[in-house]
Amino acid sequence: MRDFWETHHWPQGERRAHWHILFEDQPHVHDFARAHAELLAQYPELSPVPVEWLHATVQSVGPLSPAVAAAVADAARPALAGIEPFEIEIGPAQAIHNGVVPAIYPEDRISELFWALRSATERVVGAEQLPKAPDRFWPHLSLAYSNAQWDHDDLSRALARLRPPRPRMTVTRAVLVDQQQAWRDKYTWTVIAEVPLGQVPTASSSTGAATQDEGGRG
Amino acid sequence: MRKFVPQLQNAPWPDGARVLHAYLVPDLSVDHALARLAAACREAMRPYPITLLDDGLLHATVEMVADTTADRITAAERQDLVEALRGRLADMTPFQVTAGSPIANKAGALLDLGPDEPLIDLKGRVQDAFVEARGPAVIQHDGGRHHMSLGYSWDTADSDPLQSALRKISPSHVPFHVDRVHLLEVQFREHTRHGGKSAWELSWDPVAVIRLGSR
Repeated sequence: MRDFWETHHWPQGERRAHWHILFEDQPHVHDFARAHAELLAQYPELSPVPVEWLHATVQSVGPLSPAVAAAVADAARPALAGIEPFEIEIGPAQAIHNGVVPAIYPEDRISELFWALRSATERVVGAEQLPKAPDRFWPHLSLAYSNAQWDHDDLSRALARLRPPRPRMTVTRAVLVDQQQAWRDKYTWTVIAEVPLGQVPTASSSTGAATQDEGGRG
Repeated sequence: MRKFVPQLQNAPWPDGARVLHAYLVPDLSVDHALARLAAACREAMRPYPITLLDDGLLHATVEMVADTTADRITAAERQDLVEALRGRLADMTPFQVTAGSPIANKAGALLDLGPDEPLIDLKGRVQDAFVEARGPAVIQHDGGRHHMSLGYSWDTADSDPLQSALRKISPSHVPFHVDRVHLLEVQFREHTRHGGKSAWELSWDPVAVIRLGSR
């Protein structure tokens, strides 16, 4: 396994907007993560993601001013109005080249969400602001990041023996966050805006730069 | 990944030995999405030192008759196994599991199978049937995670790029319908590969098919 943080090192103090699916109201997802916690804690080569900071990145956006962030959120509202809430299932966790991740599936609806958010965001910030579009969106969440180069065969075998039930949930919203990196530790954020799926935006649902939520999430 | 070496009685498999196994064999005329997923995985695995399992060799191991090799099990003893399996599986309802994610592992690559509950139930029944027919020495292996094998590695290689290739496959999770157990005479033979390498290759001959919920 390679060092995740070597290739993901943000300048000190930089904050980058991201579109996420969040799990703070999903106890089954928390249970799934906690079922892996004891195992992951045995490996100093890993930085486990605290349950309160679990997330599935849908689209990395980059540094945004409050006004542009609000415009991005507002652009997403009509784009997500045509996507009804959908079910996903998570798992099994597997060791990949730079961490421990369970897949999220089925991929079709969440990929539709990705392309809608990417397109809406691109219309505001320009295509050059965003990372290159992938051929195919890979939905996943991270349970741990690797902080070293190491042989993870033992971990893979142990993950294969751990078989917590795969959680299911309904995705009802996308969340635009203002994210910061605690290098070699974790990502944290404050919420900029929540955009519901399948709801036609009204005048009162506009984000506006002044309404940015500074409460974050715990 | 490292070279896969099949095991029998906690030792390397004797070349050419045949051992009775209970396998789940997918019916790809029903599970079309599974056929497409397996084909996509094979394409991702092709650059690696892996003996790919074609559609006719896809399987999920339920249990093996590990107390002896198949040549030492008489026709009457095989019939005992079949009858015991029929008895234990007669009241089991066919079920569906999810095959996926595709996972690169030390032995090649596989499709994870879940949820566990019906597979644990099935494995327990098959084990009970084998023990009923042959005694407790018949169970000697921990099969590990429920999985469908996709291929067996015959050399050392970095699994990370394979895992990256496998994760690009969509859909990555598909239905797998289970309505029967196959009792098979399974053989592994070690075949020479280029560069002085050798690979263990799987084949089987059918013994019986036991449908779930059928008396």
